[in-house]
Amino acid sequence: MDAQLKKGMLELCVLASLKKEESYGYKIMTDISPYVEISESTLYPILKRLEATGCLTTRSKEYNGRLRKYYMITEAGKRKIRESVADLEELRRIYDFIRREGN
Amino acid sequence: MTKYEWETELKKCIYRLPPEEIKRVMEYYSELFEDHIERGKNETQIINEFGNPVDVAFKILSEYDAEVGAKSDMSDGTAASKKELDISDKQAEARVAPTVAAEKAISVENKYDGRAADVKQKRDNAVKRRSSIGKTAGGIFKTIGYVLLAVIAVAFLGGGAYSVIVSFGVAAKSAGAGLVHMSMGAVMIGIGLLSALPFAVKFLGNKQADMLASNVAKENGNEDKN
Repeated sequence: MDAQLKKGMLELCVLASLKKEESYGYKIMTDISPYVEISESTLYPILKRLEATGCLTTRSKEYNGRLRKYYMITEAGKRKIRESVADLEELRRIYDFIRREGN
Repeated sequence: MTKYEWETELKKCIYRLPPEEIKRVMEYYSELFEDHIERGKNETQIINEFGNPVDVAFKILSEYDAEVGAKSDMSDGTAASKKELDISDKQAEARVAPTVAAEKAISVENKYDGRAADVKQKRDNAVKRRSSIGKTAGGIFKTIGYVLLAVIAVAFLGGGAYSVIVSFGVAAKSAGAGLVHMSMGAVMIGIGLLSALPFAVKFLGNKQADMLASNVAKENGNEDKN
């Protein structure tokens, strides 16, 4: 996939996985990898960027005697998901068009 | 390879990142390691999934550089990244000094399938330096030539004018001598005018040439920036 497009899609997937409740690295990976190809080294900069743009916040919580970093979605992050829905619908129409005409 | 060896290799490769960033990366992977181990995987399986630490490092470094580059282009930073902007200023300065950054980047990135981007950058800079030296040398000769012409023009114009003026006085005493003086003066004025011709052309054509020159300079400037 186009690198920029993929980046945008991954950001949305990560945000979606945080919508209901906070999550952590391993869990985010397992939540979204059925839907999109992603590696740990790809996820890291995505999380960094989402935090830098204010779409999520982080905190460290103790778990089993070690520290785990938890990610929580922000209002801005939720807004980003809402605003992307129109784009995703357009993507779906484009996909249908290409499938139709391509065959 | 063990977890420890993998982490050590990764840390070695990302040495040039700011210390807080290195810490963040190592904590990120350490946490993932622990979570995988908790789910019953062994270190080898986990390392297979994470991949070669050199490749992982390269990904992290290139993403970091890209973000720094994007931020240094931003005129206003987001509040969350203000701290990162301070770091990015240093990194941005390092990028402006291409030889230093290129050398460092080459030593690390040569590991990663010899990405030639920074090598090319170094080569391009060397070429630009050479051509600008050539331009300066040519410029020096051009200036010397112009100075010589100016001297000749002034000398002959002046001398010729002087001769013509004197010739009137000489003609009072002797018409022949006066004629000689006048014609000599005319010839000298002629030579002076010829020498001054390049300057006249330059001056007259200046307005058009200025526009053309600035367009050409803009193109060259854009190439230089890249």
